[in-house]
Amino acid sequence: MTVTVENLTKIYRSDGGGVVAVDDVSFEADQGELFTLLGPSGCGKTTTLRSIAGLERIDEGTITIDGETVATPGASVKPENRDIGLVFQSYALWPHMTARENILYALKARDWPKDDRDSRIEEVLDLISLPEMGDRYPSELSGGQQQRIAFARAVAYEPSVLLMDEPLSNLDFKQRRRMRRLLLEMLDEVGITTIYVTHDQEEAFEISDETLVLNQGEEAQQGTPQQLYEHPQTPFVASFLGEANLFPASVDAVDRADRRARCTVSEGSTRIEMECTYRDESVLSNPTVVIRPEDIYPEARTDGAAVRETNRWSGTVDHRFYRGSFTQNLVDVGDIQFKIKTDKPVLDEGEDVAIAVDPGDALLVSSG
Amino acid sequence: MSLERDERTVRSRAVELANPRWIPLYVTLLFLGIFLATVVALFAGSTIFGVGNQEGITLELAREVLLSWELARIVFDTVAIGVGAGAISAFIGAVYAWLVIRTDMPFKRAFRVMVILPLSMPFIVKGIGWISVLSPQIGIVNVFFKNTFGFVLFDIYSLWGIIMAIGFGGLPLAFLITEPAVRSIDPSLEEGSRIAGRGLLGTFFRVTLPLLFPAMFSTFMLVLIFALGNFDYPFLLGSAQGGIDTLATEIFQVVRGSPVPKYNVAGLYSIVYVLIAFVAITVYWVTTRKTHKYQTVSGGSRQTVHQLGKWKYLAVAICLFLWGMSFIAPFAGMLFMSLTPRIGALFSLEFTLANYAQLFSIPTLRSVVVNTVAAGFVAGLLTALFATFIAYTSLKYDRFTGLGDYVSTIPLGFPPIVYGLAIFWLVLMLPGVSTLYGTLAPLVLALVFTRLPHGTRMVTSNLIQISDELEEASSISGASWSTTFRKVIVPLIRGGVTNTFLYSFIGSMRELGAVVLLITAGNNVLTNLLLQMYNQDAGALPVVAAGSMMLFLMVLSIVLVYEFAGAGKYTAGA
Repeated sequence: MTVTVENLTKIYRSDGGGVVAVDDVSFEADQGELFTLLGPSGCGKTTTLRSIAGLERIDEGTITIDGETVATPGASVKPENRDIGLVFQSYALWPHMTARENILYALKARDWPKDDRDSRIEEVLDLISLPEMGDRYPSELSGGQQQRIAFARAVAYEPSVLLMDEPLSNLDFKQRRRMRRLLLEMLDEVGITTIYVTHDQEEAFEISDETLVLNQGEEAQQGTPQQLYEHPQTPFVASFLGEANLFPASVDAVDRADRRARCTVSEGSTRIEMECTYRDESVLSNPTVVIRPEDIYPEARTDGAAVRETNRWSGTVDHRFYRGSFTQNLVDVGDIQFKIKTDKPVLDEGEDVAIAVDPGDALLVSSG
Repeated sequence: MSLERDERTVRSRAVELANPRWIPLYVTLLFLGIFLATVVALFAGSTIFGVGNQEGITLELAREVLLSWELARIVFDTVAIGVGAGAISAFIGAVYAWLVIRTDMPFKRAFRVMVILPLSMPFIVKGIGWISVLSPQIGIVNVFFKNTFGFVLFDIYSLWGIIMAIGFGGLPLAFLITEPAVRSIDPSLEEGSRIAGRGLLGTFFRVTLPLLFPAMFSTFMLVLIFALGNFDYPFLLGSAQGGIDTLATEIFQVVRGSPVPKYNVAGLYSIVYVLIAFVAITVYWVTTRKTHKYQTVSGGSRQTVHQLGKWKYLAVAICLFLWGMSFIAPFAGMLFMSLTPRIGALFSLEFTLANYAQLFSIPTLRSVVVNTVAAGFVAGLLTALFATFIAYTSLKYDRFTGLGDYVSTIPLGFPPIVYGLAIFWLVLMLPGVSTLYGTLAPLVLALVFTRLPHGTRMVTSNLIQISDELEEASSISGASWSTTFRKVIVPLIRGGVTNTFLYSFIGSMRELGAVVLLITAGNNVLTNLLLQMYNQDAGALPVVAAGSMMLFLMVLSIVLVYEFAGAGKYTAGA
């Protein structure tokens, strides 16, 4: 089923006025797709999800599930009458019911055929690989097991849309990684449209088909994980998804044929020239340069390739952070500081070094 | 799936209002309505209507009553009893809690468990117990002192007697309030004082007590509010002997004690009484709200225990004394008195069950016991029901939190006997309801009123732990509001609701002040029967003591249920 959100706006009103939690957000999650809402806390992603679930009244816009309008500012289908499942961040398992009773409760409320309820419970317990745990109370289950029971409860009655609100955030690092994979397998098997809320970009990248990044209640950018990482449209998206060097720049000359621009980046008393790429001319009026740390090469790494005339600067290694699988260095080019990333700890603190950037890796985005 | 109609249209508003999820709000409003009607009835009844050819409140009467020395004396006694009793309770509660929790005193466990026991003694029973011990004429201890040393040790029929009886009786409450505060004291604060050179005693007075001050003040105010409103002690120990009157006993006296009931005077006293009580309640709310701000209760801090050395025997003696004054002394007095063949024969060690036999020969006893249990039981059920819906209203609707808090707080400002009077008027004035006068119905209403504020708090503290997501998960799963309420909310707050029921049941069986003005021949209860018997013939004290023993055992049996079966298994939310 397709979920369509159009121009959704939600305002939390209080005595002192209102807070716009979600501001004119639109997106569409297609049948069978895993659609992720990604953003820092307070960006409106959970409010959006709760609006789709029917737990919040909306102030503007419409929400449509499978072509049927379920929410407008004036009218709303109750949560119990929407064909959805929701996995809560806290799991929200009823503590006075066993795992089996939790699932049964949902099956009963959704009028699952009486004779098939027991077999359906066994089926979903198998799906989550906890066939033996049905008679345990939530307090007798680990966090990861509770998470899986919550998932089973949400999909047991075969809703057409599954909503998940940061389902893995209460697990520890290792469990989270394991559950992420298991979750993907389970979702594959169930095959329903899923809208997934998270603040963890690594999680979003690993599981999503499509991701919408939200910032302060507004849409920041939508795309596949790869599109978002490689072609961020704003400094916020660039820095929220992975690490990025961000330099405000001014454009000196433009080569429209190659979509190249020669820019000046200045900081303190230092000014450097930089050859950059852009995707859309609109960014040229007020651009910021985005360079991923792994796209900056210390000179030694150029491996004899033609020595660059452009985008090559001399600097000093200010700091070295050893991170195991990679090493991060801060390199000062005058007053401008670059974050660079190398596979091996090849640079020493205080060492003089030349660094180079391919113009194709220096992306201009709009400073907003 | 069907779209609800636009909520701005009239029809859908009616549909929305009929949604079962508003039931808690409607129940809350119903209770508020009854409450306000009662208050209006009290003031309208005593100002405008009057009874028979008696006038209501006239300006002349108001001047005469309000500007009299008589009233000043009564108010002074009322307030003095409150302040004195509150101070004693606050202090002994802190000492007891500190010794039991923070020292290596022997028998700590036993003292911790025993401290609850006095709660099962109704006030009138304790009053009878104290009379048996310290009445200047017939009290066991005073008779002993008179015979041996030629003087009376302590006269319970005095202001100090009443203050002492209520103050020491407050030990369980004081302990329960102070205990968490004592547990949360950071031990390094006390250790720092020891290292700086203060001894154990110096540390207790210079560091521990000041740290406990917020909790002690809470105790002080709560006992003060209770003592202000109490009828049993001042009546038995003061008013019945002549001399000491409080507003509670005076309201009783002008209605029941004078040949023609002076309802207008009772009305004026009630106004003064409610004003004083509201001042106390306001002080309590304002100060405790601040308290919560600066009290830092950090969970899981390490518990250290002070080594008392040879002083531990003194500690045991202190705890025994405090507990003894709270429970053993009145209990033993009552027990001895109930077994004595005649007043004054206490030291001959002759014992008899004749008093019990005489008690059971009272023809109305059976119906009185049935009334007591029935009124208490129904009041318990209704309190639990109202408390559940009011707590839900104050926690679960965004827009009505204020209303729920208000409804559950305001009744605290009305002393029990004022409720009794107000409900008396309500029943007489409402057309068609006056036939209820003399039945258990007005008693039950008065009992629900007096227990509801605390009952609501008990349910609230349970319900607040149930996260909204458990309800949301239920509606997402497809359940309606009423299913969610029955299958998710109620099972999870069963502990709090059960406790509220038992608390109200127990409290109702012990209550005298709230019902004393509502009782006629047909709806007598045990507390009032004891009062009447004692009031008619002080020589009947042994039989009254036997009756007290019976009431004590009835209450105790329910308290035991409360302790062992009360708290629910799944009180914590997810």
